[in-house]
Amino acid sequence: MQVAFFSDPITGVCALFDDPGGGGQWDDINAPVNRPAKDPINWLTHLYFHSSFDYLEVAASPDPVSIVHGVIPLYSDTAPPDPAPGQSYRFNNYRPTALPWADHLLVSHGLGYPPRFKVAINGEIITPGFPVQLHGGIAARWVVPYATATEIRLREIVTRQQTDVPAIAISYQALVFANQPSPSGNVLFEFDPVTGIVTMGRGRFNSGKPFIQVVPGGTPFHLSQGRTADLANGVVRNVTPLGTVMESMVGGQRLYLYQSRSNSTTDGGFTGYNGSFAGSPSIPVKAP
Amino acid sequence: MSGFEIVGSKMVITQGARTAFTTDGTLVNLLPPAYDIATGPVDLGWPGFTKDCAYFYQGFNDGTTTAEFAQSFTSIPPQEWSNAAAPIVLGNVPSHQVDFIDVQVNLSRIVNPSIMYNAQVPKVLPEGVWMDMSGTAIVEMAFGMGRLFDVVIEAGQVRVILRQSFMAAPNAWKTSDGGDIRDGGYGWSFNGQRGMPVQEIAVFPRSMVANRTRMRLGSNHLAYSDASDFSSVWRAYFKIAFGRKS
Repeated sequence: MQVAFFSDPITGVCALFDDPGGGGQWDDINAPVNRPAKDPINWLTHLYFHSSFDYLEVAASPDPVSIVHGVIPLYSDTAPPDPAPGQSYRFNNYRPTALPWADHLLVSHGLGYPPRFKVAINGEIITPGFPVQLHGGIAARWVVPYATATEIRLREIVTRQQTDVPAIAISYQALVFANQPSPSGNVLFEFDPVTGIVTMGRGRFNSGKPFIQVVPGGTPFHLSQGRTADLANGVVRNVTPLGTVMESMVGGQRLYLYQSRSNSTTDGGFTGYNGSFAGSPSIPVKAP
Repeated sequence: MSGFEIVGSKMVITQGARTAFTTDGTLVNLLPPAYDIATGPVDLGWPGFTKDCAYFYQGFNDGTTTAEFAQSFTSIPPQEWSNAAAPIVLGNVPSHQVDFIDVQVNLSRIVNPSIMYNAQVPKVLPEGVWMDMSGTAIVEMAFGMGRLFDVVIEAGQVRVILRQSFMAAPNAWKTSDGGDIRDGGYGWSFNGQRGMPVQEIAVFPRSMVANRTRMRLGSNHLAYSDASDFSSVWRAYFKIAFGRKS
């Protein structure tokens, strides 16, 4: 099978593909021989390169950023007094909620729009609502990465427990992708011998930009190919691309009830995930 | 030496000694934006949990003092739910050669569940900002419960699958069905299935007169139910791009 490199001054397309046959003028994008260039979505198996594809330019170096998550003070729980006639008891809000606790800057990107991004911790890609700290066997701290027009930030959510949850320093890496530029100018293909940079497709592709690369193993970033968490018996199970399992649930509640003329407490722990989720495949990538 | 060459089916761009770009099976790309799905608002609705009533009653008599106390709760028995059999479909996948999707989502909760444990059911996710989905997002968690959703490719479609779960009440709660009357000790009983008491419905304050009519099924029993509704709706906006590995 022949390989063709085709560029079209009318559409601004540059493409490298296996000749699908069918004949026609080699310089006519409407010719059957150039169908992969004209209609890439239906000829993906023939294509090696197409200038309309977004090769995921890395806009910010994914340098590690250390975030110190502060101490979560214990929840001070005060028992109600012994009941007197006419008194009643109600739920006491003990370790009551998952609380927005802190918000952290991970990286400034300055792109002017919320970009695509990925965030990893210690070599593990994370998803919204990822548990990052256990305390006494119960999740105490979760994080949610999000994007603004200028920054990638991290929302931290916590639950308070019977004892202080200690501070923890965690290293994050944020991989930020710039949107593919719109076509501009008239340059269809250009090689600059001084810089070695190749531009194609009226500026849509520029080899001087850093693009992510597929690297089997040894990289913290993964493009998920399926779901990353499950839920069973009230417990969330996250499974990272490397197979690390993190199970989390909001910690116990306490109920005060009248009992034999003195109050009593009932604490609840959790009874455990009882599903079988083992994770999904993913594509490992790295920044150049 | 910098250069551009096509050798066989491989395009290689070198800058000095560095390979700046090669089509040698190491690229990932998104398909042209014309195939993206930008959609919303899409309302993601989780149903209310099936409810029951946990009823606490104690009649006390030690020979010199009598007392009576009753309290009824909305309880939630263990349960699992998913819309996997009838998922929300955001669109079709443009080619079977697609290997992954890049999903960004922006959410806000527009219907709050009823109060649980005297508190609003916590939102795990921030509202009004763009998040990377990478598979699954956890939206709500409280003691014993969780809600999440996946955005995945299934059967040639981009589907949103919602899940929710409520645990079996831990044994520490001692919420076994012990009958309607207790002299001392715990006195839990249930209308149907054992579950976790999550919110008070009614209470009969401790009374020194124990006429034993406020037990469950008694002639003056407390209410077994209320109007609580633990359903939840999050409004979502999605930006989805299709990707492939070269």
